[in-house]
Formats: sequence, structure tokens, C-alpha cells
Amino acid sequence: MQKITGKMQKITRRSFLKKSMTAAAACGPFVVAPSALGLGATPAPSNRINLGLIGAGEMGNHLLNQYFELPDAQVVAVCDVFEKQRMPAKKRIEHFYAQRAGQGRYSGCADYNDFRDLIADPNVDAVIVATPEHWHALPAIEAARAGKDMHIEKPLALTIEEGRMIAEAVKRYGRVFQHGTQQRCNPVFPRAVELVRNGRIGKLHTIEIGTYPGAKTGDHAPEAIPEGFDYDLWLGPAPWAPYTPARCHSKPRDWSYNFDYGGGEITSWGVHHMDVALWGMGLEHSGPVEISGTGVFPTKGIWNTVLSWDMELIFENGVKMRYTDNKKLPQGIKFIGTEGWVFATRTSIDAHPRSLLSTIIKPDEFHVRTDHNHYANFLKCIRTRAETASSVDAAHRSTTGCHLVNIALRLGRKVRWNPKRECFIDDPEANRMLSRPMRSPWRF
Amino acid sequence: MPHSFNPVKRFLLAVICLAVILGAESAFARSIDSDIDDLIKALETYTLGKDSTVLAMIDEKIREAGAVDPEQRKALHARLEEAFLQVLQSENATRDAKEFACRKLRNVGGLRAVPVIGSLFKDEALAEIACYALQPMPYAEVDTLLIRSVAGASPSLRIALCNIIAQRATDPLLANGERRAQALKLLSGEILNGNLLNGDQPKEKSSQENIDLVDTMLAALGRIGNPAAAAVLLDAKVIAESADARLEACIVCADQLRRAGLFFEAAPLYRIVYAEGNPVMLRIAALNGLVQCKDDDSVRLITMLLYGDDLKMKRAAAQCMTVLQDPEAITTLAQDLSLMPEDSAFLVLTALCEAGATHAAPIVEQVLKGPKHKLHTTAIHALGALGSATHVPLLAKIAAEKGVKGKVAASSLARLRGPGVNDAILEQATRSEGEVRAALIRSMGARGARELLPSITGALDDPEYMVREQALTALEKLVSGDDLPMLIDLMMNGNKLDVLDGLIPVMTEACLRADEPDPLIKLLSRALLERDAKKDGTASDDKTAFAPNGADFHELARGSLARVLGNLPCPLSLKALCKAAEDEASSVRVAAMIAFGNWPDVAPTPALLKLAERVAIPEEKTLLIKGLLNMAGLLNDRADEETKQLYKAAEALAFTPEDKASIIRSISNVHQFWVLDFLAPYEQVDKTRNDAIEALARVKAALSLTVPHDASGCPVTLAYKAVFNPEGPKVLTDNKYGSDNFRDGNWQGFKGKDCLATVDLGRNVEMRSIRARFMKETRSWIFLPVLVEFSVSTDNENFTMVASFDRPVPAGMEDQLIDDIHASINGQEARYVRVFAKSLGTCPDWHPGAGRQCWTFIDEIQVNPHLDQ
Repeated sequence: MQKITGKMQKITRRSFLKKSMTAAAACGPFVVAPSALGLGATPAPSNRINLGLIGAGEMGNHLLNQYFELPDAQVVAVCDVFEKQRMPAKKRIEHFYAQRAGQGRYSGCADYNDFRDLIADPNVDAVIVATPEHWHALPAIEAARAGKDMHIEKPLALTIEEGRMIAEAVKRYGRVFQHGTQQRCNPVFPRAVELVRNGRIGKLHTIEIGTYPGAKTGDHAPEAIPEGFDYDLWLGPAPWAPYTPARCHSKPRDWSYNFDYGGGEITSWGVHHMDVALWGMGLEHSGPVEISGTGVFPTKGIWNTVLSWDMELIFENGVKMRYTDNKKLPQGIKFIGTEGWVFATRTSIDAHPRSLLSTIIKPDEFHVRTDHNHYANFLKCIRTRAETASSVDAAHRSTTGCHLVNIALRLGRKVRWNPKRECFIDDPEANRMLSRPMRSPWRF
Repeated sequence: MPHSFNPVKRFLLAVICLAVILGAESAFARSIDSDIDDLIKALETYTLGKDSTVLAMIDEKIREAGAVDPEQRKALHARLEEAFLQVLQSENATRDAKEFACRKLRNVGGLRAVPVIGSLFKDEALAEIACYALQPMPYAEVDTLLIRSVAGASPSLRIALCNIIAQRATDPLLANGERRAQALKLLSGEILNGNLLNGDQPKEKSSQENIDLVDTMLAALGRIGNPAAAAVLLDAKVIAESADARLEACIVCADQLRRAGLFFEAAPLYRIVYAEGNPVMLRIAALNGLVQCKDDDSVRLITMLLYGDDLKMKRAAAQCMTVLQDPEAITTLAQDLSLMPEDSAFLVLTALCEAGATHAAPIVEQVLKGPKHKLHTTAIHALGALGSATHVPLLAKIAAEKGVKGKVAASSLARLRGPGVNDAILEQATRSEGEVRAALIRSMGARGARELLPSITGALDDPEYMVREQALTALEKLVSGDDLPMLIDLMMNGNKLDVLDGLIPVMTEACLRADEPDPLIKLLSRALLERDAKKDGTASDDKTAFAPNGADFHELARGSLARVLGNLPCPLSLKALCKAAEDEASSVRVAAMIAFGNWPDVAPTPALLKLAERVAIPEEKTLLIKGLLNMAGLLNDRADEETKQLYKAAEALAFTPEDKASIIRSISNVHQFWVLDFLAPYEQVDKTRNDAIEALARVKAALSLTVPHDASGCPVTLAYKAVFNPEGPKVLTDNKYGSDNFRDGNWQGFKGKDCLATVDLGRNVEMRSIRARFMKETRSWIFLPVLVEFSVSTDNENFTMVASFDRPVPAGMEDQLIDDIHASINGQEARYVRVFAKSLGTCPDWHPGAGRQCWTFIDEIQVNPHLDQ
């Protein structure tokens, strides 16, 4: 299996031999690229794209690292309803830009409790939304309305209806949209997609996806809301519930394991591979037609999303997808065709026959034209107004695919889906799960 | 005789099976039903934070119901509904139980649940969750209830109710004519009849809650999106605070009408929003809508904007071109490209590409030939997407230029699609000369056109060097394993040195692309060793194909084959190269020895040692030394005697100072005591003295770091397990120092935690010194401990601190450092030595990982290092 890091590189057998020797030590502390320290050239402020970060939790900070590496972007505002997250992020941003400018102090980062204030900030050109999933739709739509381009973290939305509303707003206001499915710009997955789309593995008949399993926790008694935490705003459109840390922020992404705020790993991580699967099939404007399988849910506790699962999805082109947690299938995505297969993970690609890996894609074949940096791709598209690597339609459909899996699991039975009308077929019970009302006064 | 059932028996068996299956399913359904009462009883007392097993069990019950047939499922849902309603109506049930019941009724609730849930509107704490439960229910009674409840509700609940009314009226699964009409009646009545504030209402009514409510109702009208809603929105008069909400509702409504094909009804709404003075984003959305409605006016509007001053609107106008379906309209807009402002022309060119407007290619070509030079590069790029075979000559000519334009044109040549492009490139290549032909040949490779392989290989004979160079590049992109025989033939019959060299990576690539490279390596080996296959190769007359010393091209080609094999290290290629190393032809021997110098494993060692005894030519001796040093480097410290033998063999071959220097540099990486003896003579000779002194210092320093000490090999106990722990805590006393690479397997890394390591020396020892090393690599989030303490004990319980050291927190990114902490002790006896390193905990504020756990890395712990040995 070829190991690939960073840019796609030509792997000779010799370099492979050398790489394999060091592979065992591949995990460990982070290595910060020199450019993150401001060693690259810095464009003039007038040429920079000013970003506002909404949600300064784990993912928000990770995204800061990514955008710090790009000299043509500057984070000028940060928003979080938790002061303990907001102020350190602001401090970090200001320290970074002070260091990049070679000056002792920099105080150009505004901080906001309410995302609407950040979006209204005229200094902000584009927003990064790294909030919990129940807080994706409203900031995205508000940003579109205000003429801001946006990077929305995955999965796109809490419900299928919300995803559709975001897609409509983005198109209505002609915004540049990037979904946080950065596998689109990883060198491995575009290659796999090109091989599949150009028939190198013959006729595609099966896709296998393995991804991280869910997690469980116990019951947590309500607690006093910490000082500096705007809990009512954190809940926002979600049904009211008393505060407890496990609901919001005791560990990274705890909220995603509660259906009020997320869809568990099925949507959170699974959407990456679902996206690649739809891309590989050329069904980015469609989805599965039949979803069935089994799953195991927690037997108690504040987290109620599925722990492990084994699902089968059938698509309109007849392709079957097995979608499981990574205890049943290896982490990654495998496309299997009549004449071979290709298996891709974030760091490697393998195929049978292996010669597939070096086949040439001709100009009149399907090409993936993308950048190898998802975040730079976003900035580039802001300038050119072109479609990003991860468009809003693709984001909506891949997220929908994951929601459908969750719905079938929650109903405990097979469901049939009409991807054109975006509704379940003859299934009023399932159709009740397509949308959710928002807690007043929040609305679309 | 085969056993068989008669038809009657078969029928009876089938009936029995069916009965068993149906019975099992019914039994299953009964079992699901059986404990609902108990669960509901438990639910009634549930409060958040307490044991929630009952909630999970009810969810499981609903999932189990999914497994039975639809009729039974319906019955089970009715049973569950009854139970949940019982909770809602119970005076003893907790608020949390009722809240949970509402959530479940959202999924299983039927008609009879509607009034019960509706009664919760009076309860402020449960009103919102009641809305949540009712929203997806497909009954007209729900709409009646919601609309009836609006009037008496609190402002907050009114907003919630209006939201749901709109959501239901627009949900494609719930919406029907009657539902929409009901919703519309309510909303239009409120808005048009002045029940809510409008421009004439007194100012004091403009409370935020009322504004929110008006905005909600306007948004609801927008979402309903039918002609009646459009009429209400067109006539609605609202105060300034809600003006934008109305415009947005108009856009949402118009978009829905447009999607339904009602362009005529949508256009007036778009025009209202497009009016000058309205917010830019709304105007852009309206323009986009008008274009999609194929409004007669849209081309005029786009043109006006493109010639205007507002960059945002210009961008929007250009973007609109991509949605124009009418090729004639696009051509009309594009034909003025050379007249419009440059920034607009740039936007239009980009839009044409995005729209794939191939019919605009002649206009793009005109721009390229026109005077606006700033647009040329964009036009060249656009031709790649829009052009056809007819644009090959133009692009080829530009591709031959140096600089950005040439590069963009080359990329465009590679992207050109449509019939006849490859033929046009081929034809143009035969007609063109020099740089243009080279550019065309290069594009053949970039296009991935294998059918052009014969032409590309033909270009290897081209008299122009640059053409041959591009042909080799193209070939490297296109070849597969199947092409190897052809490539060998090309190489063996070639007569140009640059082609011989250039074919080496091409053939390597062909072999690497094969599923089964072994047969190809055999093929190469055979061609390499068949010396007499062709002896009539002669040097070319071409000046670029200069063969040194009148060398035989056939031999040179065999040398190149050996280099290809050197790029494909495996047992088969090694076998061929070992023979090649003894070949009569010098070029073949040299190529084999070069390969050994880069070989990735120690397999060639015996062959090299054998060769070392025979080789006589100085140049080959030098190459052989490189091979021997490569083997020694790969062995490193693993096989002491073999390493020594390799260095001795290399030493015997070395006669130039450069050879000797390379041996000295290489052996300085071997940290063994015998190396000191090996290097000593070199220190005495002038020409090698400096290198030897440096090497000796390195070896001595390394040896001093790994001298035996009293803790060598002693067991180490860690209070907190190291997270970065490739080899376990034993590496802390294994006599090997961690290098400057924290991944080298010698370090122990602790994430966010302190390091507390206790070494058991096995007996009481007189303490003279304790040492411990720590790494600082701030870019990898590794920081020095803020405090290090050494303690000793005789019983592993009572420890006495013997030394303590503070380390400052760095103020910014700093260079990597290994901090060697050493404490002299005054002879105290102890069996246990404890090293405590207090972690910084989290990365400091200035660091990219601020607030997140940082690392502490340690290796190695030494007690009484015997530095005098």
C-alpha cells in the first residue's frame, strides 16, 4: 500500500522501502509547518481575505491552524458563546499575527458572543462555521444573506430540511461555499474517484465504508451554568434542556452524540466517506434509494446516538454500499468493480490490479480538478468565484445520506428514499424525521 | 429410492410453517407490548440526570416495532401513543417525563394525541415541546389547532406557532391547497388587515417581539411561495424595521414560483427587490432570479452592470452569464469583450469558461489577438476549455514561448477536447519546427494520448534536442509495462546519448507501473547480459550525440539498462547486476557499481567484498568504496564484525584523499570502541588529519554518552504511562541516547502529564551522580519540564530529594534543544532513584496549540556514568 503525505508524490519502489521503515513512528506529537510561523511572504492587507470564526472549540482551533498557514487570509473576528473558548482564541489569533508581522503586539481581532454580530462586522469577508450541528443552518443562511462566503464544518446540517435550506440560500445569494470535507483535497481520494469514474475498475458494483464507532456516557445531573457561558444561545434552536457539561463541552464534540445537536459518528465522521462515495459514483445530486441494517444504541445516558452499526444502502444505479463502524470494515472507502478495486484512506491508496494506480487519465475523461489544500481552495474560489472542491449540493447530499442511515436505525427497519423528491416513499413515520421545528424565536 | 412428499403433505407442511412464522411474529409483537405499562410507570417519575435506562428502553421498543409487519406496527404505535398520552395527562408525571413523551409522540402520535398535546400550550414550560411534537403530524386538526392558538398566545409562542404553520404549509409532504389557504388567510389577515403593526401603527407597538413576529409572518409567506402569497407580499406595507424582511420574503417567494415554472408571477417580485437602493445581496439574488426566469430585460441589466462601477454587482452580472441558457444571449454579451472595462472582461472570460460556452470560442480568440494584453493569459486559459482542434496551431505557437503565457498555453493544449484534437496536434507537430514542435510533443504526453506513442517515439530521432527532451517527458507519462520490449529496442538501437539517459526513468516507470514487475526485470536482465546481440552500434554524426572516447553505443545502452535495474532493487535485478559488475564493458560495470552505492539493503555485501579483491581501475574503486560504505551504513551497529570487514575492505581500496575522507565521514557514524583504533592512523597523516579529528570527536562524544552506568539495564517503573512509547520504559536505561529525532524509538513522551520514573538498581549503590536528558521541540509541542527533581531511597518508600532544577517557559518558538541535567551527589547510598519532571501541562498562549496538552520527552536516566572508561 502506498503511503502518501502532503502533496501527491511519485513513489518509487526505493522511496517506498525507505518510507515503510519509518512508518511505525508516524503517530505522535504534532509538527507545525514553518509557514505557520509566518516564514512565508505576507500579502498586503488589501489583498487578504478577512475571515471570521464562529465556534472556537476543538474544530475551530484546528481550522485556525489551517488558515494561519495561508498568508492571504487573516482571521479578524472570533465568536463563541463560551467566554473561556472565545477569549483564548482571540488571544491566540492576535499573538499569531503579531508574531507573523514581527511586532510585539497586535489587537485586530474582534470578539463576539453572538454570531449575528460577527456576520454584520463589515471587516469580515467570509465566515468559518465550526459550531455544533444544530447551529449550522442559521449562521450559514445569515451569512449568505449578508453576502459573506462561508466554510461550514461537516456535516452540513442537523436535518435534511435544514441542509436543503442552506443550499438554497447559498445559491440564492451567489455565495462561495466550502464544506469541511477536506478529503476532497487530499491527494488520495481524488485519484480513487478518477479511477472509478473512468471505469478503471470495470463496472462499479459495491462500496465498502468503515469509519469511527460512536461513544457512550452515563447520566449527568444538571449543573449551574458556568460563568461566561451563554447557555441559552448555545441551545439556540434546539429544544430546551438543563445545562450539564457532557451536553456541551466536557470533551471535544460531546454534543455530537446527542440527537438534539448532532448525529453521532455516522454523520460526523461518516460524511467524509459518504461524500467520496457519491463523488465516485457521480451521484452528487442524488442519494440512496433503499437503506437497511442494524445498529447498537446506548442503554442509557445523555448521549443517544448509535454506537456501532452495519448498514446496507442501495443506490439508483444498483450499486450497493456497506457502511459500518471500523470494527467491521477497515477505516476508509473501497470501491469494488467487475475488474478490480481501489481502497483509499487519508494516508494511503491501494488497488487491484496495482497497475491501476499509475494509469493515465486522458483529457477527455473525467478529471478531478482540485487543489491539494482544502483551505487554500476556499480562498482561491473566493477570489475567482468558482465552485469550491466541496460544493453545497454535494455537502447536502452526502449529509443526507448519513441522516438516512440514522433514520433507518432509529426506526429499526428498512426505509425507501426518493432522492429526486427528497422524501421517503410511502412512509409517513420516516417522513416525520426530515425536519424539526426551531425553538422560538429562532426561525429560517 | 429418493424420499419425497406427496402434494397433500407438502401443503400441510407449508401451512404449519406459515403458522409458526406468523405465530412467532405475533408472539414477538406481544412481547414488545407486554412491558409497556411497566416502562411508562417508570417514565412518569423520570427526571433529567437520574438513571435514563427507561428512556433507552422505550427507544428500543420503538425500534423493535420496526421489525414487525406494518399492521402490527400500527397497533403497537397506537399502544405506545396511548401510554404517552397517559403520561401527558398524569398529574404525577414529571416535567421531564412529559417532555420525553412529547418527543416520542412526534413520531408515533395519531389524531387523538392532537388535543392532548394542544392543551400543553397553556403550560409555558411545555408549550415549545408541544410545538415540536405537533409539527410533522399530517392532520388537518393540527392546522386548525395551531391557527386557533395564535391569537391568545404569548409573543414567543406566537412566533413558534407561525413558524410551524409556515413549515407545514410549505412542507412538500404535508402541504396541500387547503393547508396553504388556511395559513395564508391567517398571515395575510394579520399583515394586511393591520392586526400587526404596519406603517400606520403607533411607534410604541414596534417592540422587538412584534418586529420578530412580523418578520416571522413575512418569512412564512415567502416560504408558502404561491401566487396568492406573492400578491400579499406585493401589497404589504410594513415599517422600516421589517422592510428587508419583506424583500427577503419576496425573493424566497419568487424563487419558489420560478422553480414551479411561474416566471410571469415571479418577475414582479424580483423587480421590486432589484430596485436601486435595496441591499446589494438582495439585488444580486433578484438579478439571478430574473436571468433564470429568462426575463427579456436580463441581458440589458447584465450589460449595464458590466459597464458600471460596482464591483460586487459586476461579479454578480458575470456570474449570471453562467446560468443564461441562451447561447445567442451569451454571444451578445461576450462580443463586446474588447470594449468593456478590463476587470469586467476578465470576469466575463472566467464566466464563459465556467458556462462551457464553446460557441464563444471565436470571441475569445479575438481577445487574444487584440490589444488588451492583460487579458491574454485569461483568454489563453479560456481557449483550453472552450476551444477545439482549430485552435491547436495558435495555442502551440504560444506554448513555445517562455513565461506564464507559454505555461498556460501548454496547459490549454493538454485540456483541449472535442473531435480531431489529437490529429490536429500530430499534423501541426509534423509541420512545425523547434520549440513549437517540442511544445506539441509535450502536450501529447499531458493529454495521456497513448495512441500517439508511435509519433512520440519517432520524435526521439528528431534532430532537435528540445524535441527529444519533450518526447522523453511525454513517454514517461504514457508508458506501461507492456511497452518495455519496445523501449529496450529503442535503447539498444539508439544512437543519441541524451536519449539513452532519458530512457532510464522512462523504463523504470514502465516497470513500476506493471502489476508483475518480475518478468520485466528478467527481460531487462537478459538484454543486459546478451552482450553479443548487437555489436554494430556506431556513434551518431549528430554533435549532440557525442559518445566519449568513441565508445560503443551498444555497450553504453547496456550500461543504461544496468542503471534501470539499479532503480528496481530486488533479488532478480541484484543477480543481473552482480554479473554486470564483472562485465567486460566498463560502462556496464560502472552502472552496476553505482547501483550498489544506492542499494536499499545489505544483500549485495558478499558480491561487493568479492569484487573488492579484484577491482583495479581507480574510478571503479571509488564507486566500489561507495557501495561498501552504503552496506556498512545499512548495517550500522547491528553486525559489528561485518561492519568492520566492510570498512577494512573500503580502506584497502582507497588511495585518493577524497576516498579516505568519505570513509572517515562514514565511520564516524559507527559508535564503537574499535572505530577509535581504525581512525587513529588517519590522525597522523596531514591530508586526513582534520577529517579524522572531527570523526574521532564525534565517536568519542557518542561513546561518552553511552558508557555503562549503574542504572544500565535496570527496571524502570513509571507512575503515569508514557503516551509516546514505542519501546516501553526500558529505553530509559538501555544505554542508548535519544537522538534529536523524537521518533527514534529511544524517547518516552508524556502528554500533558508529569513524568515520575523510578529506577531499581537492585542493590544499594553509592551515589556520585545522576543524569537525565529532556527534549525541547516547541514546533512539535514538546516542552522542557518546568521542574526536575532527583530523589533517592533505600526502601522505595521514603525518598530524599538530592537535587532540583527549574526550567523557564519559552516565550516563543525556539530551536530544538536536548537539556542534559546532571547532579553530583555526595556518596549517599541508595537502591532506588526517582526522577520527577513536572510538565508544563498545556501549550503556552502564544503557541498554535495554546491551551492544549503539550508533551514532555525524556531519555536517558543515568546513575554514576563511568565517564572515565
